[in-house]
Parts: sequence; structure tokens; C-alpha cells
Amino acid sequence: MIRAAILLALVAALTVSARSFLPAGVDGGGGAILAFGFILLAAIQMGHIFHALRLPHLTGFLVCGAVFGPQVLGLLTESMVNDLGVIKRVAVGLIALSAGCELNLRELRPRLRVVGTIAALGSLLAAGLIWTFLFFLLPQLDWAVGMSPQQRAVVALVGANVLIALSPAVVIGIVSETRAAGPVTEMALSLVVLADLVVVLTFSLTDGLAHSAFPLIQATGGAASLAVHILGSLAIGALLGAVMALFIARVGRKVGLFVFGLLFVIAEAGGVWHLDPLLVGLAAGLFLENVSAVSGRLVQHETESASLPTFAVFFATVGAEIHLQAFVDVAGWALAAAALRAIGLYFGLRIAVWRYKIEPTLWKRLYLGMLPQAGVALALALLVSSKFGAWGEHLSVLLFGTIVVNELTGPVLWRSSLIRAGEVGRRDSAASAAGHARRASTIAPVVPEPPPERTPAPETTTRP
Amino acid sequence: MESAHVAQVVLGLAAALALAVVLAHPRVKALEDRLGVTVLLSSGLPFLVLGAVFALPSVGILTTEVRADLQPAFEFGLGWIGFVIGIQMDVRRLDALPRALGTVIVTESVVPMVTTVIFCTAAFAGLTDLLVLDETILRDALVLGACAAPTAAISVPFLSRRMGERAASMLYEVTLVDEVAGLALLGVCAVVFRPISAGAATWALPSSAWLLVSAGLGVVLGIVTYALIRSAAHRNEELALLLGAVALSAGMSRQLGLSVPVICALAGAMLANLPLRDPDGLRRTLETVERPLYLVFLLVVGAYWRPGEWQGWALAPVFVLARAIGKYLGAMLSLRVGPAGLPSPREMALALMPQSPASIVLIVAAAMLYGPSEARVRWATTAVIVGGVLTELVIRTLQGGGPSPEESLPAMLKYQRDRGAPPR
Repeated sequence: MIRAAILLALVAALTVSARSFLPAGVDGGGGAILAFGFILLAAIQMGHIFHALRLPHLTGFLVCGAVFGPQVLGLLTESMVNDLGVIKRVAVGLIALSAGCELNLRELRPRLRVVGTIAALGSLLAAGLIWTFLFFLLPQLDWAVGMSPQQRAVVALVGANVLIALSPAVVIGIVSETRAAGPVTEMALSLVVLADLVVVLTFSLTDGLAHSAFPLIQATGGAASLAVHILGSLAIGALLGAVMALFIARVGRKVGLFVFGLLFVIAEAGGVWHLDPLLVGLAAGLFLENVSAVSGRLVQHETESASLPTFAVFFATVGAEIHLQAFVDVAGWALAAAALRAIGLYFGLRIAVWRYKIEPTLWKRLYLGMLPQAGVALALALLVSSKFGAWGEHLSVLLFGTIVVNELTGPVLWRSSLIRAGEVGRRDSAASAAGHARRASTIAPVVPEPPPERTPAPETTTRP
Repeated sequence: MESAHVAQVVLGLAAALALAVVLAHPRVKALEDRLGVTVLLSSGLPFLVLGAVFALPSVGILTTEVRADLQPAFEFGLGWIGFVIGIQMDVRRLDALPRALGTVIVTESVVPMVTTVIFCTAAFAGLTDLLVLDETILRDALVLGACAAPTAAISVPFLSRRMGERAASMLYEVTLVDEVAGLALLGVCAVVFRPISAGAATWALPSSAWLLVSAGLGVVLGIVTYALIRSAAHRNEELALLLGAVALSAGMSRQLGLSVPVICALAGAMLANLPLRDPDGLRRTLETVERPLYLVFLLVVGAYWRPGEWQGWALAPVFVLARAIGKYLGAMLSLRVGPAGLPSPREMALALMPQSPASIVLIVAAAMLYGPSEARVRWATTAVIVGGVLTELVIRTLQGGGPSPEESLPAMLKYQRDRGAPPR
């Protein structure tokens, strides 16, 4: 821990000295690459420090971004964080691809009804509680005083919709960090992915309601744009998966770099075509694992070396975007909203437990995987801020505050849950199990799991 | 950007990705071997041309926005290549070289630099309006001089048959180190001729102080990189830390207005001479992603390239001629001061003439430092790119027929196969 702290201080001191070359407010050339290098090194060291404190690396990444970001020390300026946007979009795509590759629908089918029920009930109850809270809170807030009850209902609905988002990125990040495998891991992965799909879908509906309740807000699209956004992302994702499968089958070299290249192209296009990198990556992963002859595990293996820098930069950037001032302003309300969300999710899960007789050892662990929030919730809160005029900006402050609570506590709880479930470190042994062996015959030789420490990674391997 | 335009951009980038996949295929490498062409011709040129075409306003694929998004990757690529060059500078390995070979390395690097600076200063003076002659002419000629030093890889087995194994091995060692001479000259340029864009900075230092800043920064970054890599718990973390260290080095160099590959090479050299746990593994890691990075790098270089300016084409033969004369004179001098067993000056000059892709790295690093909008820097870029192709043609003419399949190993193979473990 001391070594990590020294290295962190050293890297920070170097960056401060380089930044002192230019006057305040001037970024100069190389700002983006300096930000990337600094945030990657600092986040990894912060992760080590947090690990020594028995906390997740991922929380260390988030705190690193928050501390060195524009809101606190300002070592990373707003423009530097914006410059990391492309890297962040590529990272979201990679994280989602990894999630999709984890989800084998054939294996999941027996549990799909349970997972769907948990997602639906948890989301509904949490949304109901948050909606009620916001509906009665709004008249107390200056910016919402003039709203009609109908308008308050819609604003509360928009807020509730954002706050029920779960976090595939955090769940996958912790799973990747702890190399966890087992029933809790599998179920949590499928649950968060499914629930966030619902959140993205329903947000488009609440968006439409908001535009009808507040006619002065400039409309940015309707059902047609929703269809393009979601279906287009899924279709492009499936196409991407097909291209990856073809590449692996025909070329089979430098798969990781090829995947990165494709995700970069999508990240570039996504901003303008309104493609969601999360949906694109997810669809690509699902295609690979469930449709193509290539195992999703193989793609995961090939991109494994990129997962640490991806997670570190992604979560540190997310941390840098944390609105700490906003949290301080609304801390009390934010904590209350976070608590209500947790309660809603809990009772939703309990109903599903009662209905399907889920084992206590499973659902108690699973519950903690539903608490984290990060990428999707932040993105939706940002949308609220930018799309709905003055009330959107005010509401987003409360949303950001609540997300900060879940962002910082969620990873810690989810990691402790995996430890208690005894699933930490089981991925290596599970990899060779029959789950993926079915496809191994089509890809020779079978790709080994990550090599032990300090042995060179094998050259890519996938000629049929 | 309009939707249709985005489609164009996506298709273009996808095409570039597909081309990279094709050109990185082992069969293409085998073809390079068989035809005896360097990577500059086989893979580099298509990417350069593709970049130039994509950047045309009528095509509009590598638009200003896309180029801005690719800029960090471009800067990172420069830093990575600098690290790769620097990490070859292992003093323990250099100590094992035959006595007096160091003199040959210096001679074969410095003499072509001198001749190129002299010829190109004259050429620049002829191409530039006499009313605007200033010290930047010397600066640009020095940059071209730096590009004259690096030599593309040679094939030791082939040359062994022509001049004996000892001579071929010695020449091979020369090609391993001559890039450093070019980088050193570029580093001197960066501290003596400070970029105008650094004018907004708060540090006002003399050139000597900038020299110390450059050296100190390179050394410190090398030590920090070492400390970081030593702390890595596993191989994936080592790669992540290496990525971060290269990016930090490149970013700091850019912020301070210093040459990115120079500082990164210094850091790499420092790293190579510290007691690493697995130096060969680190070299392999660095070299694994070098070719794809190099191709992306060339794509962006192509986008900034302005081949329409005739001055660049006029400068190219001067550059090639000056370099060839320098290599020949250097070979003559080497025979006098070098170890026994060197081949004839003609054979030696021909073996050391092919231009390394590192020349493009150097000229592009200079263009980034001094601004691609400067006319002479643009001409110099064209001269180095065209010069690489011209040199290949000149060598084939002088050799009186095509080379043997092994005549010229692709430069990337030089990095990927030979550099870490020179044949003995």
C-alpha cells in the first residue's frame, strides 16, 4: 500500500509539474493523452491502496477520478475529461461485449422467468417508492413550486426511471476483478443486463410523457427515434458480432486489437447515429456466445489484457464526472432516495423469492448486486439535465447525488457479497468446465485461461 | 455531421481496419519477404495513400473531428515507437559489440546527416523566397538530417553470403543503433528551436536549460516506468502500466513542447538499463502492438500529408542523393577507422541505404512539434515519404536487377523478430 501511495504521489507530482508549464485554463497539446496516461496509472495505484484497505479496486478507480477530477484537485480539467469521451465509449462497448459473452441464453433459459420477475418486481417497487417520494418532495423545492400535479407526476416518473437503473458495468467490473464465477455471479449478470434494457426502453416512454406534460420543451424524437435507437443498436451489435465471429474464424490473429478497432468505429459513429454502445456491445456479445460458432469466452480471453486499463480509465472518468458539489447540496434527499431504492429492490426481490422459492443463500447475495449504479444511470441523468430545460437541470442534481451514494457504496457491497457467496476466484476453475466446452471442438486448439503470472500470453489461436 | 456523412466515415474507417487486417496477415509478411520490399512499400504506402485520400474534402472520411479523435492515438503511437527504439539501447548489449564498431555506427549516422543538412539547406534556400530566409531553414534542414540517419533492416543471412557473416553482423548492429542518432538530432532541434506554440507557456528557459529538462524528464520517466512495472502483480497489469507510462510520457512531452519520440526513447533506454525481471517479455509486449499502431499512425500521417505541393517532390531527390552520398562517404571513412572485416564502401553503402520507417516517425514528430502548417515542414514530410520509395528504386538500379528474396527484410520484422536478439 505504501509503495502504491508513493507511486501515486510521484505520478501526480509529474503531471502537476507538466501542467504548470502552461497558464491556468490553457490545456496545450497532448492534453488527452496526458489525461489518459495519468488517470490510468493513478487509478491502478489507487485501486491497490483500496485493495489493501479490503475495498474493491473499482471503488479506488472511482475515488481516483473524483479526487483528481475537475471538482476537487482539478488535475484533470473538464476538457481533458471530455477528450476521454471516445475512450469511455469504447470502454462501455467492451464492458457490454464482455457481459453479452457471459450470457448463454440456452443455459439461462430455465432461470429467465425468475430473473425477469426479479427485475420487473424490483424495478416496479423501487420506482413506485421513489416516485412517491419525489412527488411529495417536489412542492417543497423552489424550482418545482409552480408545477401542476400532473407535471409533478411526470417529473417524479422521469426521476424514478433514472434511479431504478442498475449497473452492468460495476457488476461486470467487480466480477472481472475478483474472477468470480457461480450461480450468484451468473444470475446477477443476467439480471442487471435485463433490468437495464427495460430502463432504457422505459426512459424513452417517460421522455415522451415529459414532452407532452411540458410542451415548451423541444422535442428530440418520438417512438420512431426510440425504435431506431434501440433496434438500430441491437441490429448493429448483431452485425458486429457476426463480423467478429468471421474474423476469429478466418484470420484468428490479434483478435483483441481487431475488437478494439471495431468498437472505436462504433464509438465514432454512435454519437451521431444515436447508437448506444452498451446495447451494441451487448448484442455483439450475445450473438457471439449464442448464435455464432465462436465462444464468447474466447473473445473475453482475447480482450482480457485490455480489461484492466479499460475498467480503470472508464471508472476513473466516471468518478471525474461525479458532481460532488451537487451531492453536498442535496445530500439528505439523495440519501433518502437511495434508501428508498434499496428498500424497493429488496421487497421486489422478496416477492420473487416467495413466488419461486429461491434459496436464501442465493437471493441475499444477489440483492447486493442490484444496488450499484454508474454508467447507465449517469448517462440518463445527463440526458435529463440536457433535455428537459430548467427543471431537468434541477432534477438532475438530485439524481446525481443519489447516484453518487450508490456508486460509492454499491461496489463495496457487491464485492463483499461475492466473497460471502464463495464465488471469488472460481472463474479459472470454471473455465474448463463443460459450459463452454461444447464449442471448443469448433475452435482448435482450446484456448487456455489466462496464463500464470509473468508467462507470455499465447498467440491467438482460433483456426477452425 | 450528417447521417450520410457518418456512414461514409464509418465505412472508411472500417475499410482501413480491413486493410490493416489484410496487411497484418502472415501471408502478406511472407510476400514482403519474397518480393524483398520493405514495410514502407508493402504496408506503409497503402496506408499513407489511404490516409491522404480519406482526408480529401471530396471524400471527407478523415475529417477534422475524426482526426481530432485519432490525435491521442497518434501521439501515443509516437511515444510507443520511441519506447521501442529506446529499449534497444541496452548498454550491456552494446558493450558486447566488436571494438571500434561504435565509430562505424557514429560515422554511418553522422556523415549522412551532415551531407543531408548541407544539401537540403541549399535546396530550401532555392525553394524559399529569399526575403523570408531565417534560421528556421537550418532547423528544417537539421530535421531532414535527422531523418537521413535511420537505416531499414538488413538480412543477415543474405548479406552473410555476399560479405561474410562477421561483416553482415556488424552492419546489422549499425542498423539497430543508427535510429538513436536521428532521435538525438531531433532532440537537439527541439531544445534549440523551441516551437512557437510553446510561446503561451509560463516557463522561459534558455536552450541549455531545455536540454537539461529533456534529459531529466526522459530519465525520470524511465525510472517511474521502472518503478511502476516492478510493482505489477501480473502480466496484464504490467501491460496496463506500460500503456499508462507511455501515454504519460507522450502527454508530458507534448505539454512541455518537447519531441515525443525523443523523450520516450530516453525513458525506454533508461528502462532497458535497469534490472528488469523480464526484459525480453517487456520487449515482446512493446513489439506486439507496434505494427497495428504503426499502421494507424501512417493513416493519420497520410491525412496530414499534402502531396500536391511540388516543392516536396523537388526536395525528395535532393534528400535521397544527399543521403546516398553521406552513406557512401561514411562507408569510406568507416573502412579507415572501423574494425577489420568490413565490406567494400559500395557494398556497405548499398546495404545501409534503405530508409527506415523511423524516418517518417522523425519527420512527423517534427511536424507535430513545429506545426504541420509550416510550408517547409510539409515539403520535408513529402521528401521523406517519397524519398523512401525513391531510395528503393535507386538501390535496385545500382544492384543491377532485383534483389534476392531475403535482400531486404521488412522493417517491422526487424522490430518483431531480430532486434531483441541479434544473431551472433
